[in-house]
Amino acid sequence: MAGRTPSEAYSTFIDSMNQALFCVTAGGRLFTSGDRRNLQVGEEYGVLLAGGGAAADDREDGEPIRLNSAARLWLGVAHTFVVKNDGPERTPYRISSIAYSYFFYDEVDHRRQEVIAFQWNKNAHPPERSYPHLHVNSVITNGSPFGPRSPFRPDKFHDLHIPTGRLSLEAVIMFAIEELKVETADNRTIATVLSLLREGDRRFHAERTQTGWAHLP
Amino acid sequence: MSTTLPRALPDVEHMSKDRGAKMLDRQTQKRLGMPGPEFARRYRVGELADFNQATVLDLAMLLPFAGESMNGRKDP
Repeated sequence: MAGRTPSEAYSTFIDSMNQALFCVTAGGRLFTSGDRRNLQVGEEYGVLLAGGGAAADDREDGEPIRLNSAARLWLGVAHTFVVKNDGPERTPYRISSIAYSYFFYDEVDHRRQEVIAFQWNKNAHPPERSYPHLHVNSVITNGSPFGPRSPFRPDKFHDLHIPTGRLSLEAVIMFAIEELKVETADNRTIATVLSLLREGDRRFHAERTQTGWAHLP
Repeated sequence: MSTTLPRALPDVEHMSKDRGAKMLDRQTQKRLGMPGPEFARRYRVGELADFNQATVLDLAMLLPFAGESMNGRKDP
């Protein structure tokens, strides 16, 4: 998302978010922490989908937005970016994303529960968690009630094709070791194996020619 | 034959730091039971490992609205 000025780059970025979100949301609006007339290079700015507006009750600030569906689903969207000034002379400014959180909620008996979240924090602490990832809340397995038409019902959940970024096999093995506590073979240390896997993962990303999405119409 | 025109996109609204700080506080109280400033401090020093991590990052995304950095440092 590049531009001749920070404001121009920001407008392109925010317009694309606005366009995408409002394909599926009827209420709410995007809020930003940055004043488009005064964006500073290197500063962090937030973008948030929420209800309300300047004249509305601020109790809606930070609350997710009800999605239009047979089930009672809600969406929370938050994005963090910085303005960079490292592009070509004609369009030197660009918007660089550093984190996102896309949260889906299910509602039953007037109670909203977190279900799944697509998240990424480029500068996460610890840095080993700085990859894009998916969280599945324990409500899927702990017996929490769901509405009769919810796509997240435990007897329906396995049918969902949940999109993710394209993963290397190495990334999956790293997940098995670091998250599922799978042991390494041949008495090799975890550090040695992880180093090997990270190198393979880097090679995968450097050499791949498809994102995994290119075949979609 | 009728044509449905795309509706106008809502304006993007700038949120003031005061309002952003109130939002952070309300959301951290509601979801983690702690005030916004305490959340900000504990997030930066990594003291929130016992909470749902998806919720923690979701709340951390509100920090820039309160005039705080998510990561406590400039993006390289």
